[in-house]
Amino acid sequence: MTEYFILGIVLLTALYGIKIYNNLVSGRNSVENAWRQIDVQLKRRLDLIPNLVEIVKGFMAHEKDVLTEVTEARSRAYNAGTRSESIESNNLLSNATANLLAVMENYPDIKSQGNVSDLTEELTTTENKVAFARQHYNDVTTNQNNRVQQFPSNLIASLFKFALEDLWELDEGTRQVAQDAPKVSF
Amino acid sequence: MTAQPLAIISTDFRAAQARNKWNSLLLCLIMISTAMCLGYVCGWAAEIFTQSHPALPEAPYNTDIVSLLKLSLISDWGLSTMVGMFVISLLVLCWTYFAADKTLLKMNDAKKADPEQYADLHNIVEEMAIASGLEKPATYIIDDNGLNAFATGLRVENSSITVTSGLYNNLSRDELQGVVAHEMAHILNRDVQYAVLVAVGAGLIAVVAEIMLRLSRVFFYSRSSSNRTSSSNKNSKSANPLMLIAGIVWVLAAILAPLVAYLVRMAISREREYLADATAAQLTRNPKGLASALLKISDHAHLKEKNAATEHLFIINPNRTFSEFASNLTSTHPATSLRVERLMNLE
Repeated sequence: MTEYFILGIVLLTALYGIKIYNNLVSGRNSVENAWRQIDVQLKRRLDLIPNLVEIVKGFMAHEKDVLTEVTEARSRAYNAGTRSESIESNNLLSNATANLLAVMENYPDIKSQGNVSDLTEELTTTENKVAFARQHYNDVTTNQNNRVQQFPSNLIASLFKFALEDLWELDEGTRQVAQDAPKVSF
Repeated sequence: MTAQPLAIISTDFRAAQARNKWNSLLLCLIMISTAMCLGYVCGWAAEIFTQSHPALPEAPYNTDIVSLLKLSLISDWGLSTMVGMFVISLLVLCWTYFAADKTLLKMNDAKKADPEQYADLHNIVEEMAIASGLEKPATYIIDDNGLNAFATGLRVENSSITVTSGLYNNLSRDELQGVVAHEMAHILNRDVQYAVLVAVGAGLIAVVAEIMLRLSRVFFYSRSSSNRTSSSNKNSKSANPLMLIAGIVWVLAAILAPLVAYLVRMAISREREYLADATAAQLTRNPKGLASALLKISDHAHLKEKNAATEHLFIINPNRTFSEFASNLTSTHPATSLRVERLMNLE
Protein backbone atom coordinates (compact mmCIF):
# COMPACT_ATOMS: atom_id res chain seq x y z
CA MET A 1 0.00 0.00 0.00
CA THR A 2 2.69 2.47 1.05
CA GLU A 3 4.72 1.55 -2.03
CA TYR A 4 1.87 2.62 -4.28
CA PHE A 5 1.51 5.82 -2.30
CA ILE A 6 5.20 6.67 -2.70
CA LEU A 7 5.09 5.65 -6.37
CA GLY A 8 2.13 7.97 -6.87
CA ILE A 9 3.96 10.91 -5.29
CA VAL A 10 7.09 10.27 -7.36
CA LEU A 11 4.98 10.07 -10.53
CA LEU A 12 3.16 13.33 -9.75
CA THR A 13 6.44 15.10 -8.99
CA ALA A 14 7.90 13.88 -12.27
CA LEU A 15 4.85 15.08 -14.21
CA TYR A 16 5.04 18.46 -12.47
CA GLY A 17 8.75 18.68 -13.34
CA ILE A 18 8.03 17.91 -17.00
CA LYS A 19 5.36 20.62 -17.07
CA ILE A 20 7.79 23.18 -15.59
CA TYR A 21 10.48 22.16 -18.08
CA ASN A 22 8.07 22.53 -21.01
CA ASN A 23 6.98 25.95 -19.77
CA LEU A 24 10.61 27.04 -19.57
CA VAL A 25 11.25 25.87 -23.14
CA SER A 26 8.16 27.58 -24.54
CA GLY A 27 9.09 30.71 -22.58
CA ARG A 28 12.57 30.73 -24.15
CA ASN A 29 11.05 30.30 -27.60
CA SER A 30 8.62 33.16 -26.97
CA VAL A 31 11.55 35.41 -26.04
CA GLU A 32 13.33 34.44 -29.29
CA ASN A 33 10.18 35.05 -31.27
CA ALA A 34 9.55 38.43 -29.62
CA TRP A 35 13.12 39.43 -30.46
CA ARG A 36 12.54 38.57 -34.13
CA GLN A 37 9.42 40.71 -34.06
CA ILE A 38 11.50 43.70 -32.89
CA ASP A 39 13.91 42.95 -35.74
CA VAL A 40 11.09 42.98 -38.27
CA GLN A 41 9.87 46.34 -37.01
CA LEU A 42 13.36 47.83 -36.87
CA LYS A 43 13.98 46.76 -40.49
CA ARG A 44 10.72 48.40 -41.45
CA ARG A 45 11.92 51.61 -39.84
CA LEU A 46 15.30 51.35 -41.53
CA ASP A 47 13.52 51.07 -44.88
CA LEU A 48 11.32 54.04 -44.11
CA ILE A 49 14.04 56.49 -43.04
CA PRO A 50 15.67 57.07 -46.49
CA ASN A 51 12.22 58.02 -47.86
CA LEU A 52 11.65 60.39 -44.98
CA VAL A 53 15.05 62.04 -45.42
CA GLU A 54 14.38 62.33 -49.15
CA ILE A 55 11.06 64.13 -48.57
CA VAL A 56 12.32 66.64 -46.00
CA LYS A 57 15.75 67.25 -47.54
CA GLY A 58 14.54 69.94 -49.92
CA PHE A 59 12.86 71.93 -47.16
CA MET A 60 15.73 71.95 -44.68
CA ALA A 61 18.86 72.21 -46.73
CA HIS A 62 20.83 74.03 -44.05
CA GLU A 63 20.06 71.45 -41.34
CA LYS A 64 22.62 69.06 -42.82
CA ASP A 65 23.90 68.03 -39.36
CA VAL A 66 20.58 66.59 -38.25
CA LEU A 67 20.07 64.73 -41.53
CA THR A 68 23.59 63.32 -41.54
CA GLU A 69 23.14 62.21 -37.95
CA VAL A 70 20.02 60.28 -38.92
CA THR A 71 21.65 58.75 -41.98
CA GLU A 72 24.74 57.72 -40.04
CA ALA A 73 22.75 56.29 -37.13
CA ARG A 74 20.71 54.39 -39.67
CA SER A 75 23.70 52.80 -41.34
CA ARG A 76 25.18 51.90 -37.93
CA ALA A 77 21.95 50.21 -36.93
CA TYR A 78 21.81 48.54 -40.34
CA ASN A 79 25.24 47.00 -39.87
CA ALA A 80 24.89 46.04 -36.19
CA GLY A 81 26.07 42.49 -35.48
CA THR A 82 25.42 41.46 -31.89
CA ARG A 83 22.27 41.90 -29.88
CA SER A 84 23.72 44.50 -27.49
CA GLU A 85 25.20 46.42 -30.45
CA SER A 86 21.81 46.40 -32.12
CA ILE A 87 20.08 47.67 -28.97
CA GLU A 88 22.58 50.50 -28.64
CA SER A 89 22.63 51.65 -32.26
CA ASN A 90 18.83 51.52 -32.52
CA ASN A 91 18.50 53.64 -29.41
CA LEU A 92 20.85 56.13 -31.09
CA LEU A 93 18.69 56.05 -34.19
CA SER A 94 15.60 56.73 -32.08
CA ASN A 95 17.38 59.77 -30.67
CA ALA A 96 18.34 60.96 -34.13
CA THR A 97 14.84 60.63 -35.60
CA ALA A 98 13.38 62.35 -32.53
CA ASN A 99 15.83 65.21 -33.17
CA LEU A 100 14.85 65.36 -36.81
CA LEU A 101 11.15 65.47 -35.99
CA ALA A 102 11.79 68.25 -33.49
CA VAL A 103 13.70 70.30 -36.06
CA MET A 104 11.03 69.67 -38.69
CA GLU A 105 8.57 71.53 -36.48
CA ASN A 106 10.48 74.73 -37.33
CA TYR A 107 9.64 74.31 -41.00
CA PRO A 108 5.97 75.13 -41.60
CA ASP A 109 6.60 74.72 -45.37
CA ILE A 110 6.54 70.98 -44.88
CA LYS A 111 2.86 71.30 -43.99
CA SER A 112 2.08 72.24 -47.57
CA GLN A 113 3.52 68.94 -48.76
CA GLY A 114 0.69 66.89 -50.29
CA ASN A 115 0.79 63.59 -48.42
CA VAL A 116 2.04 64.91 -45.09
CA SER A 117 -0.80 63.41 -43.07
CA ASP A 118 0.01 60.02 -44.61
CA LEU A 119 3.60 60.60 -43.61
CA THR A 120 2.63 61.57 -40.04
CA GLU A 121 0.54 58.42 -39.71
CA GLU A 122 3.35 56.33 -41.19
CA LEU A 123 5.88 57.79 -38.74
CA THR A 124 3.58 57.42 -35.73
CA THR A 125 2.73 53.83 -36.51
CA THR A 126 6.34 52.92 -37.23
CA GLU A 127 7.55 54.30 -33.91
CA ASN A 128 4.57 52.70 -32.15
CA LYS A 129 5.25 49.32 -33.73
CA VAL A 130 8.89 49.43 -32.66
CA ALA A 131 7.83 50.48 -29.15
CA PHE A 132 5.14 47.81 -28.85
CA ALA A 133 7.45 45.11 -30.18
CA ARG A 134 9.98 46.07 -27.48
CA GLN A 135 7.26 46.18 -24.87
CA HIS A 136 6.11 42.70 -25.85
CA TYR A 137 9.70 41.47 -25.80
CA ASN A 138 10.13 42.89 -22.29
CA ASP A 139 6.83 41.39 -21.10
CA VAL A 140 7.73 37.95 -22.41
CA THR A 141 11.29 38.23 -21.10
CA THR A 142 10.07 39.25 -17.63
CA ASN A 143 7.78 36.23 -17.53
CA GLN A 144 10.65 33.95 -18.53
CA ASN A 145 13.04 35.53 -16.01
CA ASN A 146 10.43 35.10 -13.28
CA ARG A 147 10.21 31.44 -14.20
CA VAL A 148 13.99 31.07 -14.12
CA GLN A 149 14.30 32.75 -10.73
CA GLN A 150 11.17 31.69 -8.83
CA PHE A 151 10.82 28.56 -6.73
CA PRO A 152 10.29 25.75 -7.67
CA SER A 153 10.89 26.31 -11.39
CA ASN A 154 14.37 27.72 -10.63
CA LEU A 155 15.46 24.17 -9.65
CA ILE A 156 14.63 22.81 -13.11
CA ALA A 157 16.00 25.97 -14.74
CA SER A 158 19.41 25.64 -13.07
CA LEU A 159 19.48 21.89 -13.77
CA PHE A 160 18.99 22.47 -17.52
CA LYS A 161 20.96 25.74 -17.63
CA PHE A 162 18.20 28.17 -18.56
CA ALA A 163 19.82 31.62 -18.45
CA LEU A 164 18.30 34.99 -17.61
CA GLU A 165 17.40 36.91 -20.77
CA ASP A 166 18.32 40.56 -21.43
CA LEU A 167 15.61 43.18 -21.08
CA TRP A 168 15.58 45.97 -23.66
CA GLU A 169 16.61 48.95 -21.59
CA LEU A 170 17.25 52.58 -22.45
CA ASP A 171 20.71 53.98 -21.84
CA GLU A 172 21.05 57.23 -19.87
CA GLY A 173 21.18 59.49 -22.94
CA THR A 174 18.10 57.95 -24.54
CA ARG A 175 16.19 58.19 -21.29
CA GLN A 176 17.02 61.90 -21.09
CA VAL A 177 15.71 62.47 -24.60
CA ALA A 178 12.66 60.30 -24.02
CA GLN A 179 11.66 62.34 -21.00
CA ASP A 180 11.29 65.51 -23.02
CA ALA A 181 10.17 63.77 -26.19
CA PRO A 182 9.16 66.13 -28.99
CA LYS A 183 5.57 66.06 -30.17
CA VAL A 184 5.20 64.96 -33.76
CA SER A 185 3.00 67.50 -35.49
CA PHE A 186 3.08 69.05 -38.91
CA MET B 1 -10.40 52.48 -3.64
CA THR B 2 -6.69 53.10 -3.47
CA ALA B 3 -4.46 53.38 -6.49
CA GLN B 4 -2.89 50.08 -7.51
CA PRO B 5 0.31 50.72 -9.41
CA LEU B 6 1.03 47.00 -9.71
CA ALA B 7 -2.36 46.10 -11.15
CA ILE B 8 -1.27 46.50 -14.77
CA ILE B 9 1.82 44.39 -14.44
CA SER B 10 0.14 41.62 -12.50
CA THR B 11 -2.62 40.92 -15.02
CA ASP B 12 -1.87 37.33 -15.87
CA PHE B 13 -2.82 36.33 -19.43
CA ARG B 14 -1.97 32.68 -18.99
CA ALA B 15 -4.14 32.28 -15.90
CA ALA B 16 -7.00 34.09 -17.62
CA GLN B 17 -6.66 31.88 -20.70
CA ALA B 18 -6.56 28.69 -18.64
CA ARG B 19 -9.59 29.80 -16.63
CA ASN B 20 -11.51 30.68 -19.77
CA LYS B 21 -10.70 27.38 -21.46
CA TRP B 22 -12.05 25.57 -18.41
CA ASN B 23 -15.09 27.85 -18.32
CA SER B 24 -15.81 27.22 -22.00
CA LEU B 25 -15.68 23.47 -21.41
CA LEU B 26 -17.94 23.76 -18.36
CA LEU B 27 -20.29 25.97 -20.33
CA CYS B 28 -20.52 23.41 -23.16
CA LEU B 29 -21.33 20.69 -20.61
CA ILE B 30 -24.00 22.79 -18.87
CA MET B 31 -25.59 23.81 -22.17
CA ILE B 32 -25.56 20.25 -23.54
CA SER B 33 -27.00 18.75 -20.35
CA THR B 34 -29.68 21.46 -20.17
CA ALA B 35 -30.60 20.70 -23.78
CA MET B 36 -30.67 16.97 -22.99
CA CYS B 37 -32.93 17.45 -19.93
CA LEU B 38 -35.21 19.57 -22.05
CA GLY B 39 -35.25 16.84 -24.71
CA TYR B 40 -36.10 14.13 -22.20
CA VAL B 41 -38.97 16.14 -20.70
CA CYS B 42 -40.28 16.77 -24.20
CA GLY B 43 -40.28 13.10 -25.16
CA TRP B 44 -41.65 11.92 -21.84
CA ALA B 45 -44.54 14.39 -21.81
CA ALA B 46 -45.36 13.68 -25.44
CA GLU B 47 -45.46 9.94 -24.78
CA ILE B 48 -47.87 10.41 -21.88
CA PHE B 49 -49.95 12.89 -23.79
CA THR B 50 -50.44 10.59 -26.76
CA GLN B 51 -51.07 7.76 -24.30
CA SER B 52 -48.57 5.55 -26.05
CA HIS B 53 -46.51 4.75 -22.95
CA PRO B 54 -46.51 0.92 -22.71
CA ALA B 55 -46.69 0.87 -18.88
CA LEU B 56 -49.92 2.86 -18.61
CA PRO B 57 -52.55 0.53 -20.15
CA GLU B 58 -51.21 -2.35 -18.05
CA ALA B 59 -51.59 -0.40 -14.80
CA PRO B 60 -54.51 -1.42 -12.57
CA TYR B 61 -57.54 0.83 -12.59
CA ASN B 62 -57.05 2.31 -9.13
CA THR B 63 -53.29 2.89 -9.19
CA ASP B 64 -52.45 6.16 -7.43
CA ILE B 65 -50.68 8.99 -9.20
CA VAL B 66 -47.26 8.55 -7.56
CA SER B 67 -46.87 4.95 -8.64
CA LEU B 68 -48.18 5.86 -12.08
CA LEU B 69 -45.41 8.47 -12.30
CA LYS B 70 -42.87 5.88 -11.19
CA LEU B 71 -44.16 3.46 -13.81
CA SER B 72 -43.92 5.98 -16.62
CA LEU B 73 -40.68 7.63 -15.55
CA ILE B 74 -38.53 5.64 -17.92
CA SER B 75 -39.76 6.65 -21.33
CA ASP B 76 -38.49 5.38 -24.65
CA TRP B 77 -39.62 8.54 -26.38
CA GLY B 78 -37.83 10.61 -23.74
CA LEU B 79 -34.60 8.67 -24.22
CA SER B 80 -34.71 9.00 -27.97
CA THR B 81 -35.43 12.77 -27.90
CA MET B 82 -32.63 13.14 -25.33
CA VAL B 83 -30.21 11.43 -27.68
CA GLY B 84 -31.63 13.58 -30.47
CA MET B 85 -30.96 16.78 -28.53
CA PHE B 86 -27.44 15.55 -27.71
CA VAL B 87 -26.71 14.98 -31.40
CA ILE B 88 -28.22 18.35 -32.35
CA SER B 89 -26.15 20.14 -29.66
CA LEU B 90 -22.98 18.47 -30.92
CA LEU B 91 -23.80 19.44 -34.50
CA VAL B 92 -24.51 23.03 -33.42
CA LEU B 93 -21.24 23.16 -31.48
CA CYS B 94 -19.34 21.86 -34.52
CA TRP B 95 -21.05 24.40 -36.72
CA THR B 96 -20.19 27.10 -34.18
CA TYR B 97 -16.57 26.08 -34.16
CA PHE B 98 -16.19 26.17 -37.92
CA ALA B 99 -18.70 28.66 -39.32
CA ALA B 100 -20.21 30.89 -36.63
CA ASP B 101 -17.66 33.71 -37.03
CA LYS B 102 -18.65 34.39 -40.62
CA THR B 103 -22.34 34.29 -39.72
CA LEU B 104 -21.84 36.74 -36.87
CA LEU B 105 -20.03 39.15 -39.15
CA LYS B 106 -22.72 38.81 -41.79
CA MET B 107 -25.52 39.27 -39.23
CA ASN B 108 -24.00 42.60 -38.25
CA ASP B 109 -23.35 43.70 -41.86
CA ALA B 110 -19.59 43.93 -41.41
CA LYS B 111 -17.41 44.56 -44.47
CA LYS B 112 -13.64 44.20 -44.83
CA ALA B 113 -11.95 47.52 -44.03
CA ASP B 114 -10.23 48.91 -47.10
CA PRO B 115 -6.45 49.00 -46.47
CA GLU B 116 -6.08 52.35 -48.27
CA GLN B 117 -9.06 54.19 -46.83
CA TYR B 118 -8.64 52.83 -43.32
CA ALA B 119 -4.84 52.70 -43.31
CA ASP B 120 -4.56 54.04 -39.75
CA LEU B 121 -7.13 51.54 -38.44
CA HIS B 122 -5.10 48.72 -39.99
CA ASN B 123 -1.96 50.21 -38.46
CA ILE B 124 -3.54 50.39 -35.01
CA VAL B 125 -4.77 46.80 -35.21
CA GLU B 126 -1.29 45.71 -36.26
CA GLU B 127 0.30 47.66 -33.40
CA MET B 128 -1.96 45.95 -30.88
CA ALA B 129 -1.29 42.56 -32.47
CA ILE B 130 2.43 43.22 -32.01
CA ALA B 131 1.91 44.33 -28.38
CA SER B 132 -0.01 41.14 -27.59
CA GLY B 133 2.23 38.85 -29.64
CA LEU B 134 -0.61 37.54 -31.83
CA GLU B 135 -1.14 37.43 -35.57
CA LYS B 136 -2.88 40.50 -36.95
CA PRO B 137 -6.63 39.79 -36.95
CA ALA B 138 -8.78 40.62 -39.99
CA THR B 139 -10.27 44.10 -39.74
CA TYR B 140 -13.93 44.85 -40.51
CA ILE B 141 -16.05 47.98 -40.68
CA ILE B 142 -19.79 48.30 -40.01
CA ASP B 143 -21.29 51.26 -41.81
CA ASP B 144 -23.17 52.75 -38.86
CA ASN B 145 -23.06 56.08 -37.06
CA GLY B 146 -23.34 54.39 -33.66
CA LEU B 147 -20.05 54.02 -31.78
CA ASN B 148 -19.24 50.39 -31.11
CA ALA B 149 -16.80 47.56 -31.72
CA PHE B 150 -16.56 43.80 -31.30
CA ALA B 151 -14.21 40.89 -31.80
CA THR B 152 -14.94 37.40 -33.13
CA GLY B 153 -12.85 34.30 -33.69
CA LEU B 154 -13.32 30.90 -32.08
CA ARG B 155 -9.80 30.02 -33.03
CA VAL B 156 -7.18 32.63 -32.23
CA GLU B 157 -5.59 32.30 -35.66
CA ASN B 158 -8.68 33.41 -37.60
CA SER B 159 -10.01 36.07 -35.30
CA SER B 160 -11.23 39.46 -36.43
CA ILE B 161 -11.91 42.93 -35.03
CA THR B 162 -14.88 45.01 -36.19
CA VAL B 163 -15.50 48.69 -35.54
CA THR B 164 -18.35 50.93 -36.71
CA SER B 165 -17.58 53.77 -39.10
CA GLY B 166 -18.99 56.12 -36.44
CA LEU B 167 -16.34 54.94 -34.01
CA TYR B 168 -13.62 55.32 -36.61
CA ASN B 169 -14.66 58.88 -37.46
CA ASN B 170 -15.27 60.22 -33.94
CA LEU B 171 -12.38 58.87 -31.90
CA SER B 172 -8.83 60.17 -31.67
CA ARG B 173 -5.97 57.81 -32.48
CA ASP B 174 -5.24 57.10 -28.79
CA GLU B 175 -8.90 56.36 -28.08
CA LEU B 176 -9.24 54.10 -31.11
CA GLN B 177 -6.09 52.31 -29.98
CA GLY B 178 -7.66 51.76 -26.54
CA VAL B 179 -10.81 50.25 -28.07
CA VAL B 180 -8.84 48.00 -30.43
CA ALA B 181 -6.67 46.94 -27.46
CA HIS B 182 -9.81 46.01 -25.51
CA GLU B 183 -10.99 43.83 -28.40
CA MET B 184 -7.52 42.33 -28.77
CA ALA B 185 -7.64 41.52 -25.05
CA HIS B 186 -10.87 39.56 -25.62
CA ILE B 187 -9.10 37.54 -28.32
CA LEU B 188 -5.99 37.10 -26.16
CA ASN B 189 -7.97 35.96 -23.10
CA ARG B 190 -10.08 33.54 -25.21
CA ASP B 191 -13.24 35.46 -24.25
CA VAL B 192 -14.50 35.35 -27.80
CA GLN B 193 -14.72 31.57 -27.82
CA TYR B 194 -16.81 31.69 -24.68
CA ALA B 195 -19.02 34.53 -25.89
CA VAL B 196 -19.82 32.84 -29.21
CA LEU B 197 -20.56 29.51 -27.50
CA VAL B 198 -22.90 31.34 -25.13
CA ALA B 199 -24.64 33.13 -27.97
CA VAL B 200 -25.24 29.92 -29.93
CA GLY B 201 -26.05 27.62 -26.97
CA ALA B 202 -28.45 30.06 -25.35
CA GLY B 203 -30.06 30.62 -28.75
CA LEU B 204 -30.68 26.91 -29.33
CA ILE B 205 -32.18 26.41 -25.87
CA ALA B 206 -34.31 29.52 -26.21
CA VAL B 207 -35.77 28.32 -29.52
CA VAL B 208 -36.68 24.86 -28.17
CA ALA B 209 -38.17 26.36 -24.98
CA GLU B 210 -40.21 28.82 -27.01
CA ILE B 211 -41.70 26.03 -29.13
CA MET B 212 -42.52 24.05 -25.97
CA LEU B 213 -44.25 27.02 -24.36
CA ARG B 214 -46.43 27.56 -27.43
CA LEU B 215 -47.38 23.87 -27.53
CA SER B 216 -48.08 23.72 -23.80
CA ARG B 217 -51.70 24.80 -24.00
CA VAL B 218 -52.51 21.53 -25.77
CA PHE B 219 -52.08 19.66 -22.46
CA PHE B 220 -54.50 21.73 -20.47
CA TYR B 221 -56.99 22.14 -23.28
CA SER B 222 -57.22 18.43 -24.06
CA ARG B 223 -57.55 17.62 -20.36
CA SER B 224 -60.80 19.51 -20.10
CA SER B 225 -62.11 18.19 -23.39
CA SER B 226 -61.33 14.58 -22.54
CA ASN B 227 -62.97 15.07 -19.14
CA ARG B 228 -66.28 15.38 -20.89
CA THR B 229 -65.89 12.00 -22.54
CA SER B 230 -63.90 10.35 -19.77
CA SER B 231 -66.61 7.93 -18.67
CA SER B 232 -66.30 6.10 -21.97
CA ASN B 233 -62.58 5.50 -21.63
CA LYS B 234 -61.14 3.72 -18.61
CA ASN B 235 -57.51 4.41 -19.34
CA SER B 236 -57.81 8.09 -20.04
CA LYS B 237 -59.38 8.58 -16.62
CA SER B 238 -56.29 7.31 -14.89
CA ALA B 239 -54.02 9.18 -17.29
CA ASN B 240 -55.66 12.56 -16.80
CA PRO B 241 -54.00 13.73 -13.56
CA LEU B 242 -50.79 12.28 -14.92
CA MET B 243 -51.27 14.35 -18.03
CA LEU B 244 -51.74 17.44 -15.87
CA ILE B 245 -48.46 16.74 -14.10
CA ALA B 246 -46.74 16.11 -17.44
CA GLY B 247 -48.10 19.46 -18.62
CA ILE B 248 -46.77 21.28 -15.55
CA VAL B 249 -43.33 19.68 -15.86
CA TRP B 250 -43.33 20.61 -19.55
CA VAL B 251 -44.05 24.27 -18.81
CA LEU B 252 -41.56 24.36 -15.91
CA ALA B 253 -38.83 22.93 -18.13
CA ALA B 254 -39.61 25.44 -20.85
CA ILE B 255 -39.28 28.29 -18.33
CA LEU B 256 -36.27 26.99 -16.37
CA ALA B 257 -34.02 25.95 -19.24
CA PRO B 258 -33.60 29.44 -20.77
CA LEU B 259 -33.14 30.76 -17.22
CA VAL B 260 -30.21 28.40 -16.69
CA ALA B 261 -28.73 29.52 -20.01
CA TYR B 262 -29.29 33.15 -19.02
CA LEU B 263 -27.62 32.77 -15.63
CA VAL B 264 -24.57 31.06 -17.11
CA ARG B 265 -24.36 33.92 -19.58
CA MET B 266 -24.47 36.60 -16.86
CA ALA B 267 -22.15 34.83 -14.44
CA ILE B 268 -18.83 35.47 -16.06
CA SER B 269 -19.46 38.03 -18.78
CA ARG B 270 -19.00 41.20 -16.67
CA GLU B 271 -15.85 40.03 -14.89
CA ARG B 272 -14.38 39.51 -18.34
CA GLU B 273 -15.10 43.06 -19.38
CA TYR B 274 -13.08 44.37 -16.44
CA LEU B 275 -10.29 41.94 -17.22
CA ALA B 276 -10.27 42.98 -20.88
CA ASP B 277 -10.09 46.65 -19.84
CA ALA B 278 -7.10 45.91 -17.59
CA THR B 279 -5.43 43.88 -20.32
CA ALA B 280 -6.02 46.70 -22.80
CA ALA B 281 -4.29 49.07 -20.39
CA GLN B 282 -1.38 46.67 -20.19
CA LEU B 283 -1.13 46.43 -23.97
CA THR B 284 -1.23 50.19 -24.64
CA ARG B 285 0.37 51.32 -21.34
CA ASN B 286 -2.17 54.13 -21.66
CA PRO B 287 -5.41 53.52 -19.70
CA LYS B 288 -6.58 57.09 -20.38
CA GLY B 289 -7.10 56.38 -24.09
CA LEU B 290 -9.61 53.60 -23.41
CA ALA B 291 -11.22 55.50 -20.52
CA SER B 292 -11.97 58.56 -22.63
CA ALA B 293 -13.12 56.33 -25.51
CA LEU B 294 -15.57 54.56 -23.17
CA LEU B 295 -16.97 57.90 -22.03
CA LYS B 296 -17.44 58.98 -25.65
CA ILE B 297 -19.00 55.70 -26.71
CA SER B 298 -21.34 55.17 -23.76
CA ASP B 299 -24.04 57.58 -24.91
CA HIS B 300 -23.84 56.69 -28.59
CA ALA B 301 -23.49 52.92 -28.56
CA HIS B 302 -26.88 52.21 -30.17
CA LEU B 303 -26.80 50.57 -33.59
CA LYS B 304 -29.40 50.67 -36.34
CA GLU B 305 -29.77 46.93 -36.44
CA LYS B 306 -30.61 45.41 -33.10
CA ASN B 307 -29.58 41.86 -32.41
CA ALA B 308 -30.01 40.45 -28.91
CA ALA B 309 -27.99 37.31 -29.61
CA THR B 310 -24.75 39.19 -30.27
CA GLU B 311 -25.10 42.07 -27.81
CA HIS B 312 -22.56 40.79 -25.29
CA LEU B 313 -19.85 40.66 -27.95
CA PHE B 314 -19.73 44.45 -28.26
CA ILE B 315 -17.49 46.76 -26.22
CA ILE B 316 -20.59 48.50 -24.86
CA ASN B 317 -24.00 46.83 -25.04
CA PRO B 318 -25.73 48.35 -28.12
CA ASN B 319 -29.27 47.40 -27.00
CA ARG B 320 -29.30 48.70 -23.45
CA THR B 321 -32.28 50.88 -22.63
CA PHE B 322 -32.70 50.69 -18.84
CA SER B 323 -30.91 52.69 -16.14
CA GLU B 324 -27.40 51.98 -14.97
CA PHE B 325 -28.64 50.64 -11.65
CA ALA B 326 -30.91 48.10 -13.26
CA SER B 327 -28.16 47.17 -15.67
CA ASN B 328 -25.96 46.34 -12.70
CA LEU B 329 -28.18 43.36 -11.92
CA THR B 330 -28.89 42.01 -15.38
CA SER B 331 -26.53 43.50 -17.90
CA THR B 332 -23.82 41.67 -19.80
CA HIS B 333 -21.56 44.72 -19.31
CA PRO B 334 -20.70 46.68 -16.17
CA ALA B 335 -21.69 50.34 -15.97
CA THR B 336 -19.33 52.57 -17.95
CA SER B 337 -18.64 54.84 -14.95
CA LEU B 338 -17.37 51.84 -12.96
CA ARG B 339 -15.17 50.72 -15.83
CA VAL B 340 -13.68 54.19 -16.23
CA GLU B 341 -13.09 54.42 -12.47
CA ARG B 342 -11.23 51.12 -12.45
CA LEU B 343 -9.16 52.14 -15.47
CA MET B 344 -8.13 55.42 -13.89
CA ASN B 345 -7.10 53.54 -10.74
CA LEU B 346 -4.59 51.57 -12.76
CA GLU B 347 -2.24 54.52 -12.89
